[in-house]
Amino acid sequence: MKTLLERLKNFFTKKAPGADAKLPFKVVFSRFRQVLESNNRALEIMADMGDKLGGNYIFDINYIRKSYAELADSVFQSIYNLNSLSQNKYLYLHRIFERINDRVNRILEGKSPLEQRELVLFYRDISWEMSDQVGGKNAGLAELANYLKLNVPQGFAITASAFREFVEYNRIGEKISALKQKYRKAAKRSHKEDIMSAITFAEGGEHDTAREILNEEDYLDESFFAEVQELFRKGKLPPHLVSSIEDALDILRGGDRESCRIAVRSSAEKEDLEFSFAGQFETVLNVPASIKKVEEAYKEVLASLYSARAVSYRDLIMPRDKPMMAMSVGCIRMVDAVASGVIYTSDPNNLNNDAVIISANWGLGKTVVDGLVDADHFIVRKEEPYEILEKKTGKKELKAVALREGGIQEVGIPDSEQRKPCLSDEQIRELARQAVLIEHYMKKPQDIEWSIDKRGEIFILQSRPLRISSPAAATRNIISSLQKYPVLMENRGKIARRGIGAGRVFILQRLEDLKNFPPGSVLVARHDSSHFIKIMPKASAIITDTGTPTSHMSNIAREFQVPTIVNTGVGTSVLKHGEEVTVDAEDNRIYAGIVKELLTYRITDEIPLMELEEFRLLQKMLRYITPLNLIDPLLENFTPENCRTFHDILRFIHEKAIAELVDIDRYKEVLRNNIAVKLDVPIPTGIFMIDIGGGLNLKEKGNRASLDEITSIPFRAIVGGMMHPGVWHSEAVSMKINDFMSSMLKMPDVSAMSYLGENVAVISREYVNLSLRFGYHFNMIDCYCSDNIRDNHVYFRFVGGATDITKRSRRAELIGSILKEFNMRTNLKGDLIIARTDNITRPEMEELLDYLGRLIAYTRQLDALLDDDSVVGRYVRNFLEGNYRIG
Amino acid sequence: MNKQYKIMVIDDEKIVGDMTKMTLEQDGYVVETFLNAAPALERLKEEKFDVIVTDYKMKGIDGMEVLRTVKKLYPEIVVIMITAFANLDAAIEALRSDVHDFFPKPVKIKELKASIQRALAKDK
Repeated sequence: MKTLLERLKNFFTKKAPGADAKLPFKVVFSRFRQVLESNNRALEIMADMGDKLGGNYIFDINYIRKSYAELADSVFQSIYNLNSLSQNKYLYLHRIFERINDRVNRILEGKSPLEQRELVLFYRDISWEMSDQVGGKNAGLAELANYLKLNVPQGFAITASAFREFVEYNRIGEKISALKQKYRKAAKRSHKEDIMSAITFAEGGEHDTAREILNEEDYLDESFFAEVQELFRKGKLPPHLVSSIEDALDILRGGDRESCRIAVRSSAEKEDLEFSFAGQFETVLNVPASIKKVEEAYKEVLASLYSARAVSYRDLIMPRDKPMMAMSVGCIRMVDAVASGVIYTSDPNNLNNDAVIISANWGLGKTVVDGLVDADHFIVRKEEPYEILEKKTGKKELKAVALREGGIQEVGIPDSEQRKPCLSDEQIRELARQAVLIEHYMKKPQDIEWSIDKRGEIFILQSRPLRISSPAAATRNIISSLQKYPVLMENRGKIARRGIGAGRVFILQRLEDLKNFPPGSVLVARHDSSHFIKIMPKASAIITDTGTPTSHMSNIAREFQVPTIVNTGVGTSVLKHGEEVTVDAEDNRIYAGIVKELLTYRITDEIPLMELEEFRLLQKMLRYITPLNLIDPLLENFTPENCRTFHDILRFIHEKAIAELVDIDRYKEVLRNNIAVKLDVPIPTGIFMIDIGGGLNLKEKGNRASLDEITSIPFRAIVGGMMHPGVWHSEAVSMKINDFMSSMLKMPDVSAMSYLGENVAVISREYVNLSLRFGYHFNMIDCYCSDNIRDNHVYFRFVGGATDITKRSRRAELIGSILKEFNMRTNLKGDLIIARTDNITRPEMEELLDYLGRLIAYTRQLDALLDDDSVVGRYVRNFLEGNYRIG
Repeated sequence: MNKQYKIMVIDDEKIVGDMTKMTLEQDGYVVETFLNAAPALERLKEEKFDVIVTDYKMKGIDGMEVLRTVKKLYPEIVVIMITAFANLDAAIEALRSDVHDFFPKPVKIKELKASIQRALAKDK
């Protein structure tokens, strides 16, 4: 990566020669091509890396390093290319690149992505980047609060840095070494035998084996770990750690200094959402929020890292060649719980996947978690409106309550309360709703702990993957039982993210319908779009008619682990809105109905990939690479400063590269320096063409070209549309006198463009930039149309008109409505309309351009006829129905 | 699967062994992994294996040497080679020397599984 940084330095110090002069259009266009190329390369590498997380490949650290180096190089190239295209408008992107690159390299070196030394961090300030610093459990809870906006109790983390300072302050590392020495001596006899056999191996040239034998630490037994625990219990907190915790407690206590109680919980470095020893360490409940009590509980939790159970995880907790595993701790406010319990988002026994199971008891959750009581059970259907399928009220004789002096106690429940359900129907449904939200986000069945306080407010205390005991052999041979399910689609398109998902089909007609997407549904759409990110956390699967596995959307699907099949061609026509389907994006098949066998297979057959170091590393790196934060170029946040990932940078670059092409000022120069060829068709378009490469194939030398002689794919499609029978009205539409008057007043926003004077199309084989002026309105289409879906875009702009602003606005509204029907993203401001679309196939592109050609012709003089708002709808319908008559 | 086939994986990158083991065990194979070749060859003296998946480039005894040794002493064992350094020469050399299959890393699991199945079917 060094070469990259060197190049970066050169780049900033060197100013391009003649940087201020306008670039010739041919140069602009070829640089635009370069941007597309480097962008595509980067997206492909990104897709490849994301694909590896799916568990289909065996890879190693060399692959990760090599791919990342190539990716960083391509992204750097793209930034460089955009800046040479735009004459250094976006140098800031290099800064962003450097920042991301720096963090990813830190991850590659096994460090935390951010250099952090905070000893205490409040949940509201914790992002995923800090998971090394705050431990898995804290990071998970912060994510539920900050990302899913769920209600979790207030709290803070005492970080891994604090742990290390504690260890150093009490010289625990040295003391552990001394203890090891002591135990080794005690085990001397067996050790002697080890040495002998190590010598034998070493003599045989097998030094690794010899070293391994010498490093065996079998003699470190439970009593060794008990002694280590004492080191932690007897340790003292460094003074500045004490004051950091005191300050945090002060904030947490707020008004109620006396009654505030907290739970002090383990959150070890690798105790993350996936890791096998989740939940193995200590939690101290109901600790009075005084520094003395919290200190005690803190040390108790640290000591639990070396509990008897820890022996079996010895290599993880106390690796021989690395520093010992750090234990972060969470301090969260105790909920004054009226009722608490556990939610399983699947039945772990029969793997029933369409309902959640809620267990509940009065008081704190301990009695439910430990199975001490005949708890209430509620079974709730997993989709809106969360119908309660079953209610079983237990005979609850015990509950756990928090004691005033700290600690908790089990107490009897009065007879009158024992048989009373401890949740209302409304609370049951709300708990189910939140559980389903978490499961969809985590993409795995969850085991969730919750409490409800006196005011009826729900708190989520923890969510972790549900442990499912798999009926091992039963899941393997499912093929025969699959035969009874009708197959709706098979081997259509390409798998962008493997996996299995089931739910009701949601056919997307327009992008704005995404807001109505019900959680757990299967999204079926004609095209893929990065706007799908809005529903990714709640989608069970995604199917598109067109698209590629390397598109923005596919990259996001991998990020969110949504099973996705793209480019099926027929998804929207074969699948019916509202029907239940199961998407098998392992073998590329879509079944009618919910195939329980497959869903079961999904849960039990998944390899615990995240237990592998390289997977965690790659996943962590990809969080700086694939998420997309910059979605809509029309929004204010579409700036270099808001790029947080490589994906954002690439998206930004693509958009801005198009904006450079669209820059109207360039045409002065184009017109000056090129020979224009007149479009020779039966309608009077007045268009002159400038061919910058492969756009025309003139039969004989001259300055006129017929439709046959146009080889520019997009321009041909547009002209074809303009010539569609009946759309070009050559008879003048009669203008009313006040329309005429207002047409005499030149509009300032339009006059800036009046130098054009002509209708011009700059074309190449795959490109057109068409600027039209008909009367007083201006129309522009910029389009790239090739066989590579990802390169394709259409940018459409329309402004002005001869009539008054009301009528002009009506025409803009009419055009906007039609463009929306074509699934273009439109932005309307008065009489200015900007619409765009990208990422669609060449045939669809040609079809769209043909319609845009018709639209240009059809709406030329339409504004004069738009006397009131009601006629707008009529003309829109007429156009869509192919009725092009006006007047 | 009637018989439980035994598979040995040798690769100095721990994850390669771990992942191969995880995925092949799902299909009912018995898998043992080694980080270098010497103890692996030692193990062959004690136990019969049906397939060996070995890395090409390793410190000490490399994949080609594993292949030669195995073919000399246990010609019935199928050897599959994987390598990060996917160059043509290596592939040709390996294939000439009686290797059953040759995969560049990253290895597509489906293909590896299919290759093992083919080898074992031939074996019957």
